[in-house]
Amino acid sequence: MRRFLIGAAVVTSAATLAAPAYPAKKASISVSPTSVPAGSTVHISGSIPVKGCPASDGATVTAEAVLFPPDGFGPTAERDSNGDFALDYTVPTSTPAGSYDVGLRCGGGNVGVAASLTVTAIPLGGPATGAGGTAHHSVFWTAFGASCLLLAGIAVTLRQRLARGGR
Amino acid sequence: MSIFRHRGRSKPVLALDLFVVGLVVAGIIGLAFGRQGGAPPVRVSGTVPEHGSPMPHPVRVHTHHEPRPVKAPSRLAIPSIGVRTNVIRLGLNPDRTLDVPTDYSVAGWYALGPKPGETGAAVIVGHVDSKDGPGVFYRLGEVAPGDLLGVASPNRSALWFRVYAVREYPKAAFPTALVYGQTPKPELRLITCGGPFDAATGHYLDNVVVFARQVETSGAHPR
Repeated sequence: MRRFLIGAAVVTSAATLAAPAYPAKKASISVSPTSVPAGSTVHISGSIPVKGCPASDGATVTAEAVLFPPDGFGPTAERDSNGDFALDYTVPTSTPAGSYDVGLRCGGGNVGVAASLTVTAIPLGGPATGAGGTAHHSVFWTAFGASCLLLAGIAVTLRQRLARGGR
Repeated sequence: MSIFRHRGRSKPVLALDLFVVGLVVAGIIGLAFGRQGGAPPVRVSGTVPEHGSPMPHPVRVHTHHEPRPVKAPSRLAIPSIGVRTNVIRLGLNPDRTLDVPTDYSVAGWYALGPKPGETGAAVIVGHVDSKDGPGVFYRLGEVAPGDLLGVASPNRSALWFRVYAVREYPKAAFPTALVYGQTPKPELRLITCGGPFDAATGHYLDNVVVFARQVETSGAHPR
């Protein structure tokens, strides 16, 4: 219990220091999972007190442009009467590996809280896992088909000569 | 058509006509086969989320589900197609494509992603063939849903994964997020090449992907 109280005090003071424009204690943001491969969907949720920013204004997530292309502004989520919001965001497959601070804007101002999201690298496209050594039967079948048609041509010529000779 | 004008006149001529028809049919079939020449056929089966994220609903990932830290894989077994192979570590090429093993007889694990047994999709790739003959994943297209895949690390018992889908994708439309994206539970992907072979570029046009989920019970060590 004492640990919880100390923890709560630390969080509270940190939030107060970080968000001078919003003196209310409850501004928060969290990202889950905290580490994902590029291309994955994350859940971003939090709260912006309605005292600092009216509930009619949405919560906009922000970060580097590579996480929220093209300008670094992510989606805007509606807030409920308590100021709470939640949204799902799919990290672009083009986002480079790295740690990103996801911040919050509301009513044209920066709320001053951030959560860290680690994006891990994924390869581009599919791997080059073959050299064609077993695809050679295509050459065989092409040669076989061409030979058959050639033989057919020869046979037709032969057939015409035979028919003429038989007359 | 002079071939048919004298039909029925004499037996040798009729036989020759039939022979010619046979040759034409065989020729056309041969050419059709030749055009389709490529990797061994794949039995596409099972279901995967066809678009979007493999996590349709956000999932709180609890990493404490893992009873103990997993280690990098060193061995892979696919009993249903008789594969037992070493697994090496792979990274990315300078162009951000996945590195592949230089040895066509071993598989490789994408070491910048999750380890098999960790939450997420661990990826192991292998060649379908070399320039000279079959590679380690030559028969991967024969794997079917329900088959088991065993992965082991040095001095550890095997982790087993059950196949739930086998898919073939054009490389031009490879579903990167579906294959590498976050999953709520530990999963495994096996990838090789498939489809037609483009002799001009020296590459196959498709990739075969096997999707599997970890099963709870552990089993024998794959050798």
